[in-house]
Amino acid sequence: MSERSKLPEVPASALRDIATDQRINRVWRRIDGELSGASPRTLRAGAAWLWAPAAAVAVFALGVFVGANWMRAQPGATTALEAEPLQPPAGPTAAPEVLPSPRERRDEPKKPARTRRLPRTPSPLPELQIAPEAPEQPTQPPAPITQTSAHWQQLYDEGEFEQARDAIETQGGFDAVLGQASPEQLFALSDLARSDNRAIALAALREVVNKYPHNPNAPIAAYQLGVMLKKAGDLAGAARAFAIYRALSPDGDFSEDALARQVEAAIEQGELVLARQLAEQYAKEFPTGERLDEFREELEAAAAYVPPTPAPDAGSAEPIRPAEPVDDGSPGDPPDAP
Amino acid sequence: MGHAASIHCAMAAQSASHGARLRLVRGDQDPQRPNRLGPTAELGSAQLVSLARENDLLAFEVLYRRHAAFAMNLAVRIQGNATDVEDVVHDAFLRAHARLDELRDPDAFRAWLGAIVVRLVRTRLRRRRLLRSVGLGAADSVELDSIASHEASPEIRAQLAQVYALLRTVAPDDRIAWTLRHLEHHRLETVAELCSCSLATAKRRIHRAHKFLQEHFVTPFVEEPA
Repeated sequence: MSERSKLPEVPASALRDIATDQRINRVWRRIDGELSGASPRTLRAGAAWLWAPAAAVAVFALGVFVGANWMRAQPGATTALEAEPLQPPAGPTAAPEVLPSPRERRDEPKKPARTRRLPRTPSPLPELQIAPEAPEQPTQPPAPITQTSAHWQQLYDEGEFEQARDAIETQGGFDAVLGQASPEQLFALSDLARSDNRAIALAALREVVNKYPHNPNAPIAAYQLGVMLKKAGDLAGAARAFAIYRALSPDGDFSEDALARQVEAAIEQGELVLARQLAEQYAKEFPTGERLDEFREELEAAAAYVPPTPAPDAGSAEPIRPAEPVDDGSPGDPPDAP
Repeated sequence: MGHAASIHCAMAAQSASHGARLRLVRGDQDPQRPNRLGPTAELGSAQLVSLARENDLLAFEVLYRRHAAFAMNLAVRIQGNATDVEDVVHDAFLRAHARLDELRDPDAFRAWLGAIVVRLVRTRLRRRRLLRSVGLGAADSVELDSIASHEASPEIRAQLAQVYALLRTVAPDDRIAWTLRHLEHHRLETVAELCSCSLATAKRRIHRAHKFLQEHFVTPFVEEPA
């Protein structure tokens, strides 16, 4: 009874009606502009049976044209999606006859244009022919991501999260989708999976960080990875992820926070020497940092509590710590090994 | 088009019966719109939807003008502020227009539109929450002036401010369901419909949010009994 009286009902009359005529007219002008421009309904309502076949023919013709030109044209062009699967089987020299798919061979028995794929298999992987389609990625991560947005992603963008999850399931589940996702999709996947499948969410973020360290999303992914790992109790992993964030984005908006979280993690793990080093770095980089005093106090308190057991100078007995996060722009280690 | 024509005839007859200040129009012609909306404004939702499906922009405008206020206020009350509310309404109506064919019961346009608005706002809330969890983006602001009427008493305004401040920490789905039920005063079935979830789920969400609010709400201006 007392509980109920604590949260009284808010009468409808207490709520404001913000829909002024001005506002309504303003929005309508925008809608009207878009609808009277090129309305999807206009197209649909028009004779679809007329334009649809015409469009199909046009698309087909365009495809033939582009395909023909492409087959004939420049060898050096690197177009990601089509050429990707052909990369692994390329043997050192004798591969050209093997490369084209059987269907292609049937269609075009004598076309020398197949050689266009040769340059696509540049230099590495000489002895990799065992793996049928293993995407061996020695140094360079798969470069450009030009996938069209997947169905599940459209659903995700529209806020249909459950349906997006269902769509992912129909595509073979998160694991299957994960392997082909672009950095943006990985980010979305991590959001979708965060609530009930944290492992996938973490894996998606790791993918962004590891495979696409130069993607603009990578620093944020590293940061979020750190947040999630910390929540999961993996302090070491979190600290590493924050370090990666700072390496990827040394002047990023969260570098102060990331460094502070590294200090926190080190303190919580009882690694006082490392914590002190990091705190000093924090003081140097952010002399007006909000958490400076807090760290000093915590370190002093910790030092007072924990007698310097191994050696006061923290020399030989001190376990080797990972090197201080390099601020030289290198991506650093992957955040967490599975 | 035949259907549109019959509707326009019905509309003309209807308007004639109301006193013939409105002109008769033929359904297959663009009605010269006196006062822009003209007699179309008197049609029912179902008829407007049918016309809009047949690409009648005027009918869609009537639908818009009839439900825009509902959509705007809904968005503001769920969000707790008027930020981007025009974008939400704009997107909602465009989406509704593009998907009119999917509306099974044309009389239920309002609820259907509401569900679209709710989905759009939910997406925004979730995105903002995600960004915030990463440290990006500011926390949702609560604009009391966008929510509370100027006539509301200071106590009610204080209540609302506190409720919205608490709602910011509640999961978007729960927050939306609670807002629809306790601020918008929708029936449970409507809440479920607007949230595109089952009745049981809607109840659960409302209950969760309500419990949280009850636990944390402090009655403003009134001394707690000792």
